[in-house]
Amino acid sequence: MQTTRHERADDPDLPLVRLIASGDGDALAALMDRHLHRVTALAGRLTGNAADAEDVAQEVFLRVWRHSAGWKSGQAKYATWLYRVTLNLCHDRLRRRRETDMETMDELPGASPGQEAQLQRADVARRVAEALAALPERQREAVVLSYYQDLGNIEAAEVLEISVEALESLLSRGRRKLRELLRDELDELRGEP
Amino acid sequence: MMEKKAMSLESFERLTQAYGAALDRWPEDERVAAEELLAASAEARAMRDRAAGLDRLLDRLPEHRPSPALRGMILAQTAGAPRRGLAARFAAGWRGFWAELGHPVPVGLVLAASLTLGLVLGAGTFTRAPQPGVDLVQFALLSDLYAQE
Repeated sequence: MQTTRHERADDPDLPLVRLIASGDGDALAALMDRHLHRVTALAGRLTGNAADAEDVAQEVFLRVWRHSAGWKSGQAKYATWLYRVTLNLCHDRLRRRRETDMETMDELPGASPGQEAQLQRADVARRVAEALAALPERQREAVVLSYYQDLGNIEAAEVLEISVEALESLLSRGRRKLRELLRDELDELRGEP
Repeated sequence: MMEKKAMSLESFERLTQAYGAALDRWPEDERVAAEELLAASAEARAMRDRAAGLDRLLDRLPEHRPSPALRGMILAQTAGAPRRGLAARFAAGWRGFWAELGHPVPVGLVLAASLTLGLVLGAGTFTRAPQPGVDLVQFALLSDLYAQE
């Protein structure tokens, strides 16, 4: 893959992407070491389901392998493209799930039953997951990218292909809706030490 | 250097509603002014504390981590999915050879030359004992050509 005049010289993933384009499996493994964790976390928070999250992550990196030779960087970093692909695959999954009307909230990771405090904690986590799932799609994506994935505002806006102002509007509306949906939990939280 | 304007409570509220209570999630160029306002304004601190409640709840949602097997599964699938690799390298080798001679070469000619070489090598092995290396090259070349979308 040749460097184009639009390519971002500060993109740390580009050397690996070039190697992957030439069929280097070790480079793909190195790219996964950098991004598999975050891609899976993003897919998990958008789909609310561990199996879907792993399926999406798998498809993302298979696409990296198949299409890296034809990848044109433009202005965005490679990681931005990875997150955008993840988002699109999650859209497809959620759409299919709605169509088949078989939505099930997966068991949450780390929610192992046992002591009462653990159960209570898992219950709060479930309600947060449900509130997140109840947000309109774009608001949910904005909150997940900005809050959970720790993307800066410019990068999150790039992934969503919107302006920073539009991102902030989505975030504000998303958080306001979450506060409404989680009013009881917020009240309980105030009573905690 | 121009001095940055102090942050208004309205701006602070707008940013808190978008990014939450933790300033390290805020746009970098707003953080210093926000810290100054927080130090000076009880109202700003109350806004931050309200936002912190939602942040604490959001932090209760655990993260989906990739299973230990996932990385290996992906690598196994890519290893079994021949792509442009060998054919592209073969063609690149021919192109490199011609480029060194200072002549641009069309892709069709490179593929034709690669195919001819494959046939010649294949014919040469017809009466001899099988040579796995050559067979593998030919098989991979054909597979790659079929696999191209």
